[in-house]
Amino acid sequence: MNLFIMYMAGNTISIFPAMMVCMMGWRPLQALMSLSATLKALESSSRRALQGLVFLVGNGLGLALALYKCQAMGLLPTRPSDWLAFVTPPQRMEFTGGGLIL
Amino acid sequence: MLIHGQDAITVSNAGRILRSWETNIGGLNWETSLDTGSFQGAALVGLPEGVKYVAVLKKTALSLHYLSNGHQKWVEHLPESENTQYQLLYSRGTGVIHVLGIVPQSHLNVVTFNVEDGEITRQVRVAAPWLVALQGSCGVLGEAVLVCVDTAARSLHVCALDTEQDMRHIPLQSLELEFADDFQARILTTQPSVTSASRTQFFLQLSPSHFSLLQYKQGLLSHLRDFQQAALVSFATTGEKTVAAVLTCRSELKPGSSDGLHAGSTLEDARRQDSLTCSNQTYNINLYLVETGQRLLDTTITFSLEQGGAKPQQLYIQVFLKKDDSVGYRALVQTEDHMLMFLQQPGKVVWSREESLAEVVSLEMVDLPLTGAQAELEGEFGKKAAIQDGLLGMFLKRLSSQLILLQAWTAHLWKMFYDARKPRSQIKNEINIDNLARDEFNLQKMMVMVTASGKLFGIESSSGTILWKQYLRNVRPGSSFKLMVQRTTAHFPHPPQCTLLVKDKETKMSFLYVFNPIFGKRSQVAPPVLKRPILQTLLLPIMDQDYAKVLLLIDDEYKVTPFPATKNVLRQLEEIAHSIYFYLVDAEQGKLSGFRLKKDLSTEESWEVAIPTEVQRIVTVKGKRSNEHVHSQGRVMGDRSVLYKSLNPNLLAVVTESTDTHHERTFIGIFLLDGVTGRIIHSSVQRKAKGPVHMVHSENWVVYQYWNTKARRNELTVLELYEGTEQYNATAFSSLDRPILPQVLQQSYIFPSAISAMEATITERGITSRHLLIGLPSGAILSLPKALLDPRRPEIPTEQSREENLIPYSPDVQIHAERFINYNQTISRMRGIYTAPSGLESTCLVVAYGLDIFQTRVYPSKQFDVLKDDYDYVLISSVLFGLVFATMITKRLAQVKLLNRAWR
Repeated sequence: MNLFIMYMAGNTISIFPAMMVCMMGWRPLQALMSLSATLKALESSSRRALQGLVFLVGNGLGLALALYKCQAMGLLPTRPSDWLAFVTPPQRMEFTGGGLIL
Repeated sequence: MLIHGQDAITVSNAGRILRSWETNIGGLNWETSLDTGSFQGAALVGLPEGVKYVAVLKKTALSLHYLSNGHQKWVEHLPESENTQYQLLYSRGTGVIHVLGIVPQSHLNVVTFNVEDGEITRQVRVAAPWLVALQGSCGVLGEAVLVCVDTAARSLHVCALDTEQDMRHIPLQSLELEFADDFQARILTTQPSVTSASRTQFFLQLSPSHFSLLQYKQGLLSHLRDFQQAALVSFATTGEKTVAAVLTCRSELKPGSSDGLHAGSTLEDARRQDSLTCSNQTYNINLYLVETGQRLLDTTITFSLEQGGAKPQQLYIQVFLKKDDSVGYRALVQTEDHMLMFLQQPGKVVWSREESLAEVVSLEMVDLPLTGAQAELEGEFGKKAAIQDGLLGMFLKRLSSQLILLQAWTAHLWKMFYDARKPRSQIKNEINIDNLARDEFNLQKMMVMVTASGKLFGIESSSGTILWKQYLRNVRPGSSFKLMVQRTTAHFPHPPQCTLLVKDKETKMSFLYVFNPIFGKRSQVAPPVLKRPILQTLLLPIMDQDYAKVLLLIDDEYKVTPFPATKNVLRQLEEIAHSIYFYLVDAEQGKLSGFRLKKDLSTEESWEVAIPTEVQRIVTVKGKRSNEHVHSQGRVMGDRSVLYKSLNPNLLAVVTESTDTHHERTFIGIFLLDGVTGRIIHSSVQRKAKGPVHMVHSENWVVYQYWNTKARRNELTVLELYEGTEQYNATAFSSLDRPILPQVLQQSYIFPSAISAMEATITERGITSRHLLIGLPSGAILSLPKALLDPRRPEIPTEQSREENLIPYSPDVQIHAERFINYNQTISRMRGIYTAPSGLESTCLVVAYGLDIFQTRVYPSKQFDVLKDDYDYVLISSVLFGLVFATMITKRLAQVKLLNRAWR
């Protein structure tokens, strides 16, 4: 379902898609942060290691999907133009001066 | 220019057009074109009933025109005009015009024309082997009597133009008049009206300070009065009385210049004989009746000029008859530094105008000094403070500076309160030189202007008041000036320092004048004496211990003089000498040469580019401004890659014009050269194009404007240089290590008008978009966004170009009146525009100079860093506080409710 929502949201940056992506990114993060609580709830079952792993992987996938959506929107600084603001002007090695003879 | 009643007659365009103007409103009465010929003189001609004609004397012909409509009455050829220089015209309402011509060292030709039909009624040749020129040595007196002075023989020669054929010799020894050595004596005569005879009295100037009033009546020469210590004389007539005004110096006139500002001794000697100066610069003007030489009582005007300033050069008198039939007058004095003063009895200055501001040559804007409190703050954070004081010292300093600030703030509040109680008209917001201080955003600056007459002005930019003036003596017309700011006001307590290099055109000698730009006084620092002519200068960013930038002067032996020349500077120069390069452009020989500085401060030539002068001549060479800061190193493309700009700080843009000006064969050439290696980065030739070419070279682009002779329109071309999608060396730029030439993108546009001046806006960090300020001949300044002059503008817009916000290409650049920055104030004859950054990033200060001077602030990207005027402080702060209180109250209430519930 998340995939479908992402597909519908589109690649422009406006309030609705931004909200969707944020939500999609935040939910897995929140779930990952409450990992210990989830593991405690799983104590009773037998295959708790595998279930824990599945939990991790699922949330990771959700996060990855959110990041991919960000990349498609152009929000991730992967291209040189994103680092252009930090490029320092090169130091000047020679000095010139003069002009038309006064 | 001749004046008759309400009309003024002018001859302009080198003697090609004769015009009559209405002096009341400045309207043109009539205009007529004259025959070709070099213009010699013009005079009004009248008959006893009135002035009806104007005669124009050319090298070979004399023409008479009606005064009412300018139609030509007759034109006559002048006899023997190949070897005779006809220079003087005279008429006195008798129906004839006398024309005097001179063959130097030989004889005079007097030709008399009849006014009605131009017939030559009389033509005589008067022998005068001693006469060299007519102007100044001769004058016409009384009933057409010519009197000339022979300096060598110490005598006068007189000849009646109507009747006689020979000059009568009158020796002057009998009158005991002493001629000065080395001075060409001069004669001044006056003719009150063109329809009657001249006065028989005249002035004979024997030396620069000695005038003598003489009279020649009925064949007899008599001496009326002697004037010693007189600097200038002038005649004026009102009604029946003719008076002579004599300007005398109150104290003794001495040869040689007083202790004012003067150049090195070589220039002084040359002018010694002409420079008679009044030591205390106080002058008297007195009126004398010319009939008798008697001084008129109660007619003295006493005035004084600035000490060390210029002396009076011309005197004009306006006389009128008062009710009790005595003579009253007002005087207009013109001084050497092109200042006009209008004086009234008994010495009040009615107005004075600085006319040298119409010839501004060079301009710099200097920050105003910090106030004491601000300077304290600055000092507190300096490096020296941290080392010296330590922790406790800095804390105490902080406390003391806060106390000072508190004091200043309360004083300011008190002043505001006090001023609010007074009516507005009494509050004077005068700006004077003592309370000058930098304002909040550094928007007010001091403009230092250098004018062609050698006078320096310090003008405050917010109100245009002239705060200081300084006149440099011994600056001859045609000198070249270069003004440099060596130290700004940012380094308290060192005073700011500006250096002016003045180079005389004829003798090629130069001198440096170092001064404080805020107060206009000469600086304590002694500049080096320049023995050889200086070719160019270079201001380095390295500083001396007192924060003065180092100025290097290269002379014609290609040796370099540094200023200041302290040990610290010489040591620093030795270290970086290998990376300092000079480029010198000789436009007459068509040569550009580059010189490299060596450790012993001599230079060696490292490159030379020859542009042969038979085909084209170099017009302009422009580098980039040193204080320009480029914010982004590249342009962002539609696919989010970067096109890096080729920012070569050593790039020179050279414009040449062809010597052949025929409209089919004329061209202009553009060369982009590297100043360090001499490598030609780009060269292009624009065919069928003519100058004058105006160019702006900034960042990575060059914009230039020319006249297209084929399409008969003005065009703008922009050149931009790019490195490509990768930077060759991101850390350091060295011209010696640039194997790849940059890509050049070019586009041209049609500009609907001619251009007087062009300049780009500049800001401190370069974040604001650049606008080109274009001065139009109509007097308006157009602010054109640089985005319109972008060579990447596509003809067919694509998805990518839309991403980059590129405006689709259209060849027309339109002049919208909303883009004018000077609304309805026109600036006549604009010669240059100067831009300076201010303390705010969004604001650029602009000064346009020409005949008028105009200063304004420009906001190319609107004022993005300033809160709007209608920013509602009250509403926002009240809402903020309200919400904070509401939050606190609600939190408390919620706590109380929770507690109650827990206790249920």
